[in-house]
Amino acid sequence: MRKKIGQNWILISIEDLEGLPGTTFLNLIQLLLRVVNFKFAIIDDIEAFACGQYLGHATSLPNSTDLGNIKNYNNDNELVQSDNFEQEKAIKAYSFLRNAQNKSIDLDELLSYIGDIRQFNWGDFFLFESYPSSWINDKNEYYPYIISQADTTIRAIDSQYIYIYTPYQGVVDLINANYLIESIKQGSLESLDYPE
Amino acid sequence: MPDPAAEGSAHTTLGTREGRRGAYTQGATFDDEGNFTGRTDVTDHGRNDHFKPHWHPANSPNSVKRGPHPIPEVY
Repeated sequence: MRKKIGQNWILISIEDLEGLPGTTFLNLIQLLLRVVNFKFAIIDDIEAFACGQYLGHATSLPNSTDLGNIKNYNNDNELVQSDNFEQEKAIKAYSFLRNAQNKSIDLDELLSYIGDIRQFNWGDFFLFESYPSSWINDKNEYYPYIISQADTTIRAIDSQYIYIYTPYQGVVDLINANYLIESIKQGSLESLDYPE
Repeated sequence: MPDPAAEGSAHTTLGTREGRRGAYTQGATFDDEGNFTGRTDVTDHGRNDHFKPHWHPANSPNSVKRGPHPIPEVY
């Protein structure tokens, strides 16, 4: 059922009013599982905050390793108390994401961690129905080729948007019924948008 | 991370985010106590509604506010 580059794909963009916490992606992927039996995932290009730690490319961004002095804030910038259990979960999620990038992982394992991430600034989640044994992800390859290898791709965009690239009309219908859509585009992968 | 050489002073450190179509500069700004106050992206990300550069003010040490904001005159 997978469609290749050059064939018809659909890009759905959603603005997330919550600012892309991990729970946004947990809920979205769980929703998609109603219509497509994704079993595996590959994550890449992750920039995320998890309980005082920052995972990303840019060397300038905050990266506290002082785990004994973690403060958590809600979206109104109010200091909230979190117990050690919550902190440990966030740190485990951070460690998992850091080590799992560009590797084939069980989707269930990803889902067990992803909800503990405080915020995704950027991130690519490539979803597969079967094991991606021939995955190629050269950093110089453009997104249309990379995404053509996955069955559906979800991208976290700039702490604000979710971009979903899929060949499945069932995915589109499900998202339409459950989210406020910013835009939908249809065409070859080369013709779609890829913010970076 | 805050620049240790700027301890006690508000400052911005610069880094590079590598993309598939090229790289762009990011800045992380800290107040005079070393608290993260926001991120600057020197790009429009290929989106028409983002200006270059734009600013993401911090919600907290663990998050930034969604959406592009103008670069503040005084951090």
